[in-house]
Formats: sequence, C-alpha cells, structure tokens
Amino acid sequence: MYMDNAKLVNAIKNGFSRSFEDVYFETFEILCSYLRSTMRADVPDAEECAQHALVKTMERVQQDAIRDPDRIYSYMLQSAKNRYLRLRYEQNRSNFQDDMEAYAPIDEQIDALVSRDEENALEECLDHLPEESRTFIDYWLEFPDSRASDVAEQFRISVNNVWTRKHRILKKLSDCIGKKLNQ
Amino acid sequence: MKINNQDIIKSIDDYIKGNLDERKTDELWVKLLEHPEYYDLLKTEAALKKNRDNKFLRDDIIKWKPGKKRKMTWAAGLAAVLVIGLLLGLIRLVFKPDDRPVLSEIPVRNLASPEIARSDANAMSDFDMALLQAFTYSVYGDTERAKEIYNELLQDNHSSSVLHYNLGILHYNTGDYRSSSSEFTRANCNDLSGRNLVASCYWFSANSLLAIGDIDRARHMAQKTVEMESSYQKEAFELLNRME
Repeated sequence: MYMDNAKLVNAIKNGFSRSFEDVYFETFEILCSYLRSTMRADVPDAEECAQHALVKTMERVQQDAIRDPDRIYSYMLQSAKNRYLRLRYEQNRSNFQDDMEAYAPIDEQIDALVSRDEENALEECLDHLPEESRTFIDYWLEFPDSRASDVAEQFRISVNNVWTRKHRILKKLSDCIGKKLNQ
Repeated sequence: MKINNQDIIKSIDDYIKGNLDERKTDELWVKLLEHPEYYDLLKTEAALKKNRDNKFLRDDIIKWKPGKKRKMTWAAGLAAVLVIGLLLGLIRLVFKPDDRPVLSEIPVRNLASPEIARSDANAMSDFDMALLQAFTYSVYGDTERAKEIYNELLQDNHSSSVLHYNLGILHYNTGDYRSSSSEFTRANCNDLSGRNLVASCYWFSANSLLAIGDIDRARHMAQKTVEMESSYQKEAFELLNRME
C-alpha cells in the first residue's frame, strides 16, 4: 500500500486506524528485511531495532519533532540502522574489529532476502509464464550483465519497453509466488 | 514522494547486480518503504538471481555463509558474577549498600508489539487487535486507556507474556512498583520472543523489585540480566556492585 510521507504523518497523528495498522506491519517487515539482508542481523535483533525505529518515529511525530516530514521514511531507516549498529557494538565490545564490513556482500543479501519456500514457489511460477515472457526473463538470467539497450536490440523493442516488460513480468511472478505461499 | 516506475525497477536491477554502494542501497530501501509494492518485486528479482545461480553451479545446494556469530559469553557472564561475589565476600564494605532502582522510568520504546506476522494481519483475532490497540495507546502516551484495555483482557481470561510485560512497564511508569513487579513475574520473561526482550524483562523486573524493597529477588533478576548479552549487561553489573 502506497502511503506518501504526509499521509503517514497524518495516519500516526490521527491515532489507531486500519490504514495505520497496515502501514505499521508493512514498514516493520521491510525494516526487518533491510537489517537482515544488508547488516546480517538475526531475526530477534532485526525485529527489536525495527520496532525501536517505528516507535521512536511515532513519538517524534506526536511531539511534532520531525523536522522534515518528507524524509520520515529515511529517518526511520537510519534510526533502525543506528539502533542495530549500537546493539552490535555493545555486544561485540570485547572483540570489536575495526575493519568490520558494514554491509554484507550482495550475494549474502540476496540469500537473506529469499526463503526456500519462495525459491520453490518461483520455480513453479516460472513454468506458468507465457512463452514470450519466459524467453524474455530467461535472457535476463542468461546474460545478467547485459544492458537494457542490449536487451532492446535482442527483442527489437525500445529501451523503455524493456523496463516496462520486465516490470510486468516481475509483477506477474510476484503475484504468483504470493498466491502459492498463501495456499 | 511518488516516483517513476522505471526508476525503481532500474534501481532494483542495479542492486541485484551489486552495483549500488551503501548510500544508494539505503536510498533504494527508503523507496521500498515508501512504495512497499516494489518490495515484493525486489524479492522476486532476488529469487530469480538465486534460481539462476543455482542452475549454474556444480553443486545443487548453496550454503549461505552465516555472518559472524556472537560468541557464547553466558559462561563469561556467569564467571564474572561468581568472581564479583567472591571478591565482595572477602571485602568488608564500609559504605551502606545502595539498593535504589537504576531506572526512574522505562521508555515506551521498550514496549513489546504484538507478535503478529504480516501475512496474518488480515486474520487478526479480537485479542490480537486489542493488544495492538493497547500498544498504540501506550506509545501515544494514553497510559490509562492502555491499562484499561490490558485489564479488560485479563478479566476475560486472556493472558500472554507480551500483555504482562507491557503492563509491567506501564505500572512502573506510573509509580505502581508493586503491580509492576507482579506483572513482570507473570510475564515469565523466558517466554518472550527474542533475546533482547528477555533481557529487558529481567532488567525491568530487577528495578521494580528493588523499588518495593525485595532485594534478594532483585539481585537474582540482575544476575539473570548479566548472564545475557544485552545493552543492560553493564548497568546490571554496576547494580550488583552497588547492592553488596
């Protein structure tokens, strides 16, 4: 559910409501996923820091203490990140390594983003794609470093169309995965 | 801020390819917070990459290398408690032990939100809905309304660790330390989800017990806090020192 910054601020100020509840859970999940994938946070730490960020934001909105409401989501993300960094520092105080990398390598981030169930569901959903879409997405997978212009040339479409088509196929796959996981 | 669909799809593509630095990665995640519908697309593209990588590797199974695991320091914590106990037993203290609570109040950000997964949000029971309502009132500062809801749930024979833990915090912050310590006891800290929440429960329980003069049980809770890795470990150590 899209909720721009101003609407989120109003939802928080107006108190408990269904729309706020939806935003709360979606935001909580995405913040947890961010910490788990980029910073290798385990589930309890990610949940604790995500909640900390949400509650802190809610408090500050209530106090009219958010300087720039347009950046409320950015504030939330940084708050969760800082909370996790502080946790990690406190817990590793005795063996804190100066060269500790902040973000996990991308392959680890991707591993953390995708569960085994989602992988299995994707396999099934790929089989249900129309042939044209399957060919298109296979090309992206076969040549992951190709630019949009290369893909456009291969399929004889415009570059804009390349992104539009990719978006449409990803959406179809995403909806399919969602249905399979909720069965 | 509404954005161009293509921009975010391109950012996701760059992210999956490992082309984004930390700042750009954060910018993407902020966009995903603003537009959660694209979060699912990110996960789908990530799944596609994994699918491709699995097919191109010799082995069928990829083992995710876990990040640096925290070392088990509970043994170190316990050893430290024992050492402190021995030292204190050998030293005759001149000063009167300080058994005041450390916390004047417990910040509401320590409240536990109901453990409801996103996928279950549409099927929330009345109990879960009430827990969420009480949690929200607590955060907004309407402590009395929050307590009313929790007490109604208790009268209806509902019970959960989260409910008792949160009530413990609310009572503490209104100065009702006896009710606070009782609620933390009923929360059964070990039943809470997550190490940090368990440690918080022990720590807050220690403070509420101190506030009502139950020194022995407060000491026990402080020791439990020391044994766990958490942001309260140092304060709990210092409290144990003061109490002897």
